[in-house]
Amino acid sequence: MQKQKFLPIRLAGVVGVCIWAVGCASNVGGLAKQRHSHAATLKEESRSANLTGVQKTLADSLVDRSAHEIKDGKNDEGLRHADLAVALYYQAYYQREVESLDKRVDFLQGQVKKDTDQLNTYKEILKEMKGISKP
Amino acid sequence: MKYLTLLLIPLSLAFGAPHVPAENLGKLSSIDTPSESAAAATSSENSTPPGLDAWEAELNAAFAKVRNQGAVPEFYGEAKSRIETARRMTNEKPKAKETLLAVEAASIWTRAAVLQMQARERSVELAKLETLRMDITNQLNTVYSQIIQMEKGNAARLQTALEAEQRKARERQEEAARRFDELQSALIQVKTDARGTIISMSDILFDVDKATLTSDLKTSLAKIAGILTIYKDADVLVEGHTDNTGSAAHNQTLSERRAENVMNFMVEQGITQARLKSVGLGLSKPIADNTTKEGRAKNRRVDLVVMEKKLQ
Repeated sequence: MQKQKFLPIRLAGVVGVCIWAVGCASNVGGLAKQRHSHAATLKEESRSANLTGVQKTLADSLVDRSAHEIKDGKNDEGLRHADLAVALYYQAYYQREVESLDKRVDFLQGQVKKDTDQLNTYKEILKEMKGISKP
Repeated sequence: MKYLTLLLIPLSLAFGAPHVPAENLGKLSSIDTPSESAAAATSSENSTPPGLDAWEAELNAAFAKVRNQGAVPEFYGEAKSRIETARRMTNEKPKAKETLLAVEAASIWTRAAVLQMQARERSVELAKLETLRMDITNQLNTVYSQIIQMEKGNAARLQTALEAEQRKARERQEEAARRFDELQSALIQVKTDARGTIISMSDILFDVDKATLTSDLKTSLAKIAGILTIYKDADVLVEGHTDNTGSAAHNQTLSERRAENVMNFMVEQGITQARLKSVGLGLSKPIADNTTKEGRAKNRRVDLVVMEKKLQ
């Protein structure tokens, strides 16, 4: 009796969950495509930017794999692989960015040291000239 | 509780349970820069993998360096979230493939976030260095300008000093010329030509056919030496000359000896040897007609050529 009383509620719950699950499943497909699109864009940009390295190579293969998986309806795998590819592209990009910035910082530090030495030399010369020109 | 479980199914389908082939996980682990690998991270059941803690610590340390440099870097939150997800999944299903993958994702996002923050840190450092360099360059320009100004000032002072020295030299020169003129007499002729002041002394001041200096000549030479002692801006060439009587060789020797003796006397009077030079020219440079007695008398002479140094 009690079981029967709760049956409509149970059925309604199951139907609701099913509707929600279907929605989510199609959402996974959308998400996968969206993420793959993002990864594919990054792939193209990294190619244009001559980005290289193991992360970029692996990311490229993950993007391709993701495309196949989405095409085959394996949206979960496609989403995950595209997601990893995106992270790897960013890692590769910032790796190169940091290396480039490090070089520029090193170069500027060298220039600053050189300029400081020259400034000190000029100051010394000026000091001597002032000493000489004193009556 | 059952409903809650059912609700979680699509959620896990969407975010928690994608399947990744094992060979790919191996590749990801090989590029996993944080210190602990994903495999190690998932090795102990029901506890946070040590890798996740280490990555979080690394993430926080990188964030601490850029905390005050504008907005929170976008990947910081992403990496935090991935670490949290991986931690939760590790506690729930430590050996599941999706957990392994979530840990890998956390690793890569952490690395990307750390690199992003390091890039920001370097950019700030770079900007500071550029500002510093600009400041130093400005200082360099200022000091350089001061040096140029000082040089101009010094050059002007040097020019003034040089002009004063030139003026004094001219005055000394004029004074010397005036005093040389005072030596003018029947036996000593003073004239000026392109070489300088020429003081011609008649051979009457020498004993006949001899090179020894008479006392009259010594007196005159002492006066000349006195003038040259003060008037240091000139060197002196002592030239001996003869007329055309007698052999050329004899005249040459006589002229040389007379010039040399005059020079030596000048040295005895305190004139520096370096300022003096003697030369015997014999009969080669007559100044008058050798066919007349008067002309030959004029040709027999010793000339002191006072050569003024060029004023600079």
